[in-house]
Amino acid sequence: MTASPTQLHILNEADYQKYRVPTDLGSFGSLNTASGVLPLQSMDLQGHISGLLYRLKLVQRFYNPYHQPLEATYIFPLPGRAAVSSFVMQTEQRRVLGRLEERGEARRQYQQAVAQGKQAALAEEERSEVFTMTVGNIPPHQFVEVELELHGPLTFADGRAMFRFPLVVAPRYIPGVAYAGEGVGRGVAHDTNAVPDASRISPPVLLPGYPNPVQLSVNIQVDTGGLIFGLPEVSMPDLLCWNEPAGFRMSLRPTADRLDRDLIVRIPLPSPQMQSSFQIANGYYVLNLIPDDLHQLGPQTPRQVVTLLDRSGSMAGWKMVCARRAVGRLIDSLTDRDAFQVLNFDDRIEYLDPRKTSLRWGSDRERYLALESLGKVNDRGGTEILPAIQAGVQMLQGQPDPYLILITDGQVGNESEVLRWIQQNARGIRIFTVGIDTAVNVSLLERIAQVSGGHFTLVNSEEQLDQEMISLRRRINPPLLHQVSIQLTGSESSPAFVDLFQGLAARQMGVVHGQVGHEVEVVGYARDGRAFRNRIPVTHCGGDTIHKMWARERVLELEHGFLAGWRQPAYQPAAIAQFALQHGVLCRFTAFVAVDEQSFVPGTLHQVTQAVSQPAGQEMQKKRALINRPSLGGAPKPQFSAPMMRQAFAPSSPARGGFASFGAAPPAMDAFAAPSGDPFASASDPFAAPAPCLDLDDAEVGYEPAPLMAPEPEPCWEEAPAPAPPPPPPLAQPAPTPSKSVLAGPTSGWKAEVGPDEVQTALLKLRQAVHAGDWELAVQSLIEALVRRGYSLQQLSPLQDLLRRLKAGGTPVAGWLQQTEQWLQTLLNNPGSARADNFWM
Amino acid sequence: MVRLEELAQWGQQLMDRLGWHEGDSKRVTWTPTPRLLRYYTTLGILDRAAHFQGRTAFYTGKHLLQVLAIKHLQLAGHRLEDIQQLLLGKSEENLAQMLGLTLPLPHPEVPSQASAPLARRADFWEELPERALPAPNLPKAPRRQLLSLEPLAGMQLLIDSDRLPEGFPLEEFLQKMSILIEEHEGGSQP
Repeated sequence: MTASPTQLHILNEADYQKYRVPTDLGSFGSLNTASGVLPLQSMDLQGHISGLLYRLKLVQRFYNPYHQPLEATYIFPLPGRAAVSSFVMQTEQRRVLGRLEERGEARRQYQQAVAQGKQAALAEEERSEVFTMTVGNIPPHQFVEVELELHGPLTFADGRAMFRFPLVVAPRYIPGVAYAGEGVGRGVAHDTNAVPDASRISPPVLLPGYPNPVQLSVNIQVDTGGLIFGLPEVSMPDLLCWNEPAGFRMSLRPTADRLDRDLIVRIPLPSPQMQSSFQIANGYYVLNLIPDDLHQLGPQTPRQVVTLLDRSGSMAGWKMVCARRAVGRLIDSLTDRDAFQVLNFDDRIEYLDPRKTSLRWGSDRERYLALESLGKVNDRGGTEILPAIQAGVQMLQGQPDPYLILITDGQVGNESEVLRWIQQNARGIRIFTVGIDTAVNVSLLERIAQVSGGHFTLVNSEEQLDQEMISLRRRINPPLLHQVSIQLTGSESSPAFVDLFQGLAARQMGVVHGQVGHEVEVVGYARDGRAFRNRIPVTHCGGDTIHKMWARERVLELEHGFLAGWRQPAYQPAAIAQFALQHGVLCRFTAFVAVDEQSFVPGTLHQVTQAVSQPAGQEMQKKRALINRPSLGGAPKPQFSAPMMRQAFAPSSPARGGFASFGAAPPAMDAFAAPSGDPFASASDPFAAPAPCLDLDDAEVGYEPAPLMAPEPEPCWEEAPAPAPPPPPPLAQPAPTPSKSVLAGPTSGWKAEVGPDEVQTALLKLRQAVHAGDWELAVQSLIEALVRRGYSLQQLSPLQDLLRRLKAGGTPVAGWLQQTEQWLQTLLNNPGSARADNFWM
Repeated sequence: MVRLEELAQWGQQLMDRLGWHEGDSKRVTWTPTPRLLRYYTTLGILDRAAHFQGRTAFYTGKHLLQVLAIKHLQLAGHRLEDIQQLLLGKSEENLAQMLGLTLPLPHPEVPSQASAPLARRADFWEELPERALPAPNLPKAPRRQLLSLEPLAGMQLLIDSDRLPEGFPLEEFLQKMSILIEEHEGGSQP
């Protein structure tokens, strides 16, 4: 199985020594190392969250393992709305404060310094969430640390504040035709005429088996005013929350080191505490508007809803399952006065049912047919997002109440093209975006929603989906209040107007010249066109966080105006750069540069681009093709409840409920979720985003669809034996007191892989449900589970009726649960009679 | 700079010089395909192509050294993860040294000529995408096909081919139907 004797002469121990980085790779055969060959050693995130604002310090530590001076390039993400307000380079000798300069000037200073052998560092912004750090002339075997200071807002929706910190730039699909010649960056993609800076947003990707040496440490203080309403939900299992007098503190368990997903913390806040607020510091203000129950929903008007479902290769695995479920939920929430259509897109656009090309009435029959064809949609090609949006907009043009729902991971590079087209052509159509991934391209999806008057929903795990979709379908309606703005003389707000949707906070930031009284007035228009006025008390506070956040918000507005091709002088690069310099924030047209004038590092410069991890949950497609393992299509880590210190939450405390509903995945599940150590991981795939077309061989079109499979794996390693199949799912009836593992079991939707456990899990959820909202969810998942097992919706009509009654707010008759279970048993026990393939329907 | 086919030939020359032979391993093939190279590029163990002329990519000696080094390690039975760890960030000199070659590499017999690249702006951050977008285009519904059959004289049957289940035994169905009709007609006659 291993190398045959004829090969052995090719590489011997002496040869092998030549391959090794001479510093501290282990002995022959042991490739694990403390420092590795990549320069980024550790990242440290510290700071505090207070109210709906945060202030953080991010420290990146680079090490040069080579014998010659090193220039390290690291393409990394930061939260899009966070303002970077200061930059420091700390070498082993000195601490150098960075200067904010116009970008061309900063690059010139940096290049000149590096050419003279000085130590220097440069921080640039490529997109609102993608940044490049370049650290030049790191002396051999020395460290350099760079520090960034960030100010940003939290988002608030449905009683929970969300803090999100992205940690990886995911591979993106790059459309267009490659430019000739050198690229402008050090990434792996070629610049194209659709993405002129593709080579600056495409870091190399580490294979799952790579021993990742990047150490991440997190230490964030959260001030909630001493009250915690429930357990914070965190996206990383290793993030621990510790109780403190004024709130809690989040820190990362030291074992966690993979930067492969967003760090997301959802903090439940008591709604009486969360009210609209107006904070002002030094003339800069932030206004948080939170709709309360006073704004009632009006009568339901007929809507026209077109859903765009991303089925590109990057959606493989749990994301596709999630996306299908999301579409199903949406279709199900329509009434027969609404009209809908679903378009699937990758590099082609297809209808769910090729014969039904216009808007379909949301009658029961149409919705059932749509749900049935939905199950056949699987991941396939490249993400051509713009033609899909164009098709959706064209279909909705001229409709009275149009909505476009975009369900995707947003992993594309041509953001400016997409935004430009939408701003110029999609007037009057609200676009609601749903981002499904562990590392969504939030900046694109959020911006699409913002410019079109819709809303962005983030789904970072399957567990999160149901809750988010329930909220979303309430919001696919005209806003509660529109054109809300603050009435203040001498003020300048960004954005100028906001719309208020149910359960969603809206934020307006601005600057005011002159005095502000004790209250400010806010004016908006209700659905029936009547003016709405409200007075909000003013809170005075200090610090420059609000100032920086406002400047960032304004800069983003200006940048998007530039990308949209607006001609006014304020949207031109020089003007934007001047504004950003004046307020001291990083943007696309400015850059931070730090030069240590006293240093001199001799030797020729070696350049390395930091490779990054693949986002969690994306490496599964190849494995699925190789072997049929039931759990591979499943979700990555579900949402975890942060384990809090026990003394804070006594077992009797109501907060314990959080554990039951969002149970942590048991260790057994982790074995499937964690890719490392899996022999098949080595044959991993070229993920979704392919480089633009490279060669004559891939002919006609300007892009090549993402390969669904890896290129034929270079068969260079021995064939590993197929891993033993996982223990079979529990077939028997679940025990009356179920363990958590049943609850958190794989909810994968691969048709062939669904076992009886899914139905049983759904049934179990139904039994445990305590109020109407849970019933609705449980019945819904039961129906989905049965449909995946091949039952047609007609056979499930009793369940559908039940669901309809629950949704209408009705209370079922006594004993309905027993009846349902009996009916279900009959259905399951007589598969022959109940399952008929009705071709002539 | 050379095209892909020339890169393959060039590699063959170097392999001859290194004393590697085609049959050294059944499991490693020396056939660089665009797709394979693109995969290596995404992993960071192969640089991007140096130049483009239309759709044709051009490569340099460093690309060749990188591919050879990958193959070399694969021959020794290493997995791609290990190779990635060994080759990330290697310079051209390192690679040549590892493979026991000296720089500059002997040139291939027919080096292809690439035209000079178009000059691009130095300030790429002010550059906007310039491709012309096609007009919005909705896919069309497939045309429904109606099969027109005449199983019996004087009787025409229209069949919606879209709705016909796959593998439907049309012939058999028509035969049986003809028989039924004939029987019926025969039975109804006194």
